Amino acid sequence: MSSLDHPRRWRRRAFLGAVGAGAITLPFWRSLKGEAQVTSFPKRLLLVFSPNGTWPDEFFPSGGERDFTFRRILAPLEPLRNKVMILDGVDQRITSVGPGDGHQKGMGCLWTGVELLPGGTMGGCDSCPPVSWSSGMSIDQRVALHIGNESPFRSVELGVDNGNNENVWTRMIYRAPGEPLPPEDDPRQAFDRLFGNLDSDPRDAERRRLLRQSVLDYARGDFERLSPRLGSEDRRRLDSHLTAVRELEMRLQNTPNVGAACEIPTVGDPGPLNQDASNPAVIQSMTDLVTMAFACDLTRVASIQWNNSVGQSTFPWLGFNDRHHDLSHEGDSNGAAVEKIIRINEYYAERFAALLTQLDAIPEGDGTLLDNTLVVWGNELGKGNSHTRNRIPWVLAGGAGGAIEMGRYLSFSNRSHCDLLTAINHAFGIEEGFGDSRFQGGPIV
Amino acid sequence: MLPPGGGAFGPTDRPPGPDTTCDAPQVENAPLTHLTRAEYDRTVGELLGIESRVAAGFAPDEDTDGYEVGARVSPLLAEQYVDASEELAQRAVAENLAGLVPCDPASGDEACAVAFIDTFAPRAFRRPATQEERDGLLALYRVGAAYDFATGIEAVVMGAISAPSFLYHLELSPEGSRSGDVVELDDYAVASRLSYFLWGSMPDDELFIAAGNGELSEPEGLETQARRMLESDRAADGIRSFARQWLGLDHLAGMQRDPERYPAWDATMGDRMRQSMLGYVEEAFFGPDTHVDTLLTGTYGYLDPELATAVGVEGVTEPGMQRVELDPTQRVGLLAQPALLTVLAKPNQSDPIHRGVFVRTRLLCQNLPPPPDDIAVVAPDPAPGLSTRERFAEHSSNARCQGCHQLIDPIGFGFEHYDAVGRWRDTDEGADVDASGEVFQSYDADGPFYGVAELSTQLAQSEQVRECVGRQLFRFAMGRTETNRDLCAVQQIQDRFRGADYDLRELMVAIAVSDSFRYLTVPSGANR
Repeated sequence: MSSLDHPRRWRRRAFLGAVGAGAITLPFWRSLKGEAQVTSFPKRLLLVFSPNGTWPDEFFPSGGERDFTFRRILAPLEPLRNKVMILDGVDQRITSVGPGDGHQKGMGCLWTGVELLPGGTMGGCDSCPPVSWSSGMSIDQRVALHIGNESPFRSVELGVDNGNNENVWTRMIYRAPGEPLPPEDDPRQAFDRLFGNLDSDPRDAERRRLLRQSVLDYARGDFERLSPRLGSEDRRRLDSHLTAVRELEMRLQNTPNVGAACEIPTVGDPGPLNQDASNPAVIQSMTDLVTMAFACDLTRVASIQWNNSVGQSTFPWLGFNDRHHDLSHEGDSNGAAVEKIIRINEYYAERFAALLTQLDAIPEGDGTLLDNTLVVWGNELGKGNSHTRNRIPWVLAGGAGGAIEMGRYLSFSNRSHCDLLTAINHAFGIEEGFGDSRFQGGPIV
Repeated sequence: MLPPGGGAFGPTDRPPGPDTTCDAPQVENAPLTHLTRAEYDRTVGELLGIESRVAAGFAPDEDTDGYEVGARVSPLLAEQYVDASEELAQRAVAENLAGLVPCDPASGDEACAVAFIDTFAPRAFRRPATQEERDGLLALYRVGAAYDFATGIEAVVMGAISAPSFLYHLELSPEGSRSGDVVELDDYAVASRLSYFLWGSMPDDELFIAAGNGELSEPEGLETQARRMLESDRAADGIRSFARQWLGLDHLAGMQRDPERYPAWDATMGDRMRQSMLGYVEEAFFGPDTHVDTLLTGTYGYLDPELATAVGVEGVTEPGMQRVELDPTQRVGLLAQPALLTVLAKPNQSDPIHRGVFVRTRLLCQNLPPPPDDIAVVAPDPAPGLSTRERFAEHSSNARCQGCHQLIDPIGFGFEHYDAVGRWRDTDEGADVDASGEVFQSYDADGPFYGVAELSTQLAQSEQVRECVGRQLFRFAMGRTETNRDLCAVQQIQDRFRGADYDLRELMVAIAVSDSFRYLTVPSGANR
């Protein structure tokens, strides 16, 4: 009954039924498969997020830099131990300044390393201080400016169950100060956007391409007529929309550089998106999509946001129905709640291990796609019931073609996470610090 | 982002008034916004004569104080707009070509396309179209007409609804105006504001004609149109949209409750509750008695038998949603509606904190400071033998909590006769419910009460609450929170509301003719 259960589900196919026409497609990737053999492979960046803090005692390994032993939460990473790196003691020190509550700052600063903007009134919170979006670009977007221009999508933002509101708790990627990018939470729509539909009638595809091209030309004219008549702030908004339209036009002409392992993934029906029981299937779909988006070189920068900050997902397949954020607030003495928090974080670690395994299964030259990718998994908090942004549970993987050496567990003391963001910059050849300069001390690795 | 100001005032303050005389109009800058998802679907439905739900899949709108605002177009949304334009143009031509064009589509030709563009473009752009714009659309027709007439029309429709003139609420400042000037909006911009406020969609022909005649730049003409539009069935769409956002009813989608405690709850209940709440608010605005007291102290509800069973209301036997009189000893006002009580509850227990915060922020329009950053915030689990009130005792014993929670908990505990699905209860964990409460630090609603019935009656007497209802509607109407520069308008609205004996329809008219609604401040940097 709710219109939100199946937003635009299979819209193209539904439309086909309505008009009885031939197959309709986005024609952009017709040449996806079997073209040139690629000899050099691009570096990619993938950010992964899960919310509400972890349980540090069962997250961080024991032992030393190379002879570490996983505890319960990260145990699923054991088969990949030579391809991951765990960081302890890397704190979101930036969140000691600026407006916002713990979750807001934890989320808005996580990948930007700068404080939140003061604001009017951000919704989504009954009793939050006046706060706005982050005052900076996120690290993936910085990297995308550097490496994203050669692929059809400068970056791809995917998500799972991030709610129906846009506010500082539900957004982590920022294209520019005050400009969050929304994740696509529907794997079917993400599939359409990335891969279109390849079995199309070429004549129909040509007709669509022509209409699209003409329409985008026309819309661009309207943008250009209106823009000078607006105030500078409004003009910036309109111009940013126009930029997106131009990029869309360019994509009509752009053919990706296809790797041999490129295949169109199959995305099954994961069930209603606002039902928690769909979560494992949606996560798997997003894993499939990002893997093939990389393998097909549709993009080199991506993020997957598994639920938003303060997310209230439930995990019925783990045998309990408690809401995640509620649980994360239970005290240390509530052993039953602590056990559930460990189980939830274990679940996410299993999903993370599955993602890495899939990336690692794609050979690229002497190594694998994972080896050529830097994957960074973060969380807005260290621990839920204290709202601390210290000891964020960071896991790195892959290493961006050897730029960062994996297979290590590194412990720091109160090290600013801007130094991690800086290390990401350096891994992609951007010799710049990242984040608030007051909290920078050079790349962490 | 909005500067802090009139929208934020603390618990001990009197609601702020304007700090200057209000002789000359003042209004906060209104940033450029695009159609919200709900507006987009209703607008294309009206424009193309087809039903659209395509925008439900768009990237969400910004959440500003609980209200949906089309604040920015991300690359994802930009692409969704283009995809939607393609899909909708194809559907419009497939399903409704004869309804769109002024000729028999079988013999459609360029002359017909020109005539179509002449009427379609102004409707799509919600203002007269320039010759240049119409020429551009005709060029698109010719691209498509290389295939056939229908494809030509499809291209025109796709182009028009991809253009920023369709996608944005464009409110251009007049030629010759200077940055910082406060100027009247042009008639077509006023027409759009009015129809998106009252109907959540584009203007109808009559409103376009009134705009073309210059009637909307005069308060009398604007008022005439506002009253006409409030008489229309379409006005229900507007107020339902307001209620959904004001009361946070989207939280009901997919809402889950503990099956052991609430066995009658199932996946259909969230939607039933949403309909129930919307019915209640719609009657308050459009029923026989539109005094604000109906909204705050009505003793009716809209329920179907399944929902009635789940929330423990007896005597609902006919199938489907129906109006019922509720027991006035148990159900008084908005605050006693099962849907709102459920939104403001946890899956397995009542939630006095969020119920109290709701009254503070949504009915008293007061902001509360956040909890201390370093504190463990834990809702205590239901415990045998401990009432909800006892479980939250730390809020009053711990000095760091007490300052804020004194403003919240004594209101929230007044709701304790309702459980997590809004069922009435006389006992909680075996003990008699104690629903005594007190309002502190409001402007004029302070005092002790027992239960929601007394609380609702107490709040209904309060000027602060009545003004707050106006502020909430203002935020919805304007797509932004009021600031200090809007306080003259807030005062105008409240004076008029009071003068009309707090009639909610008059409140809507008052907002429509207020300075903030009719004027804009010329932004800096425009090239005129």
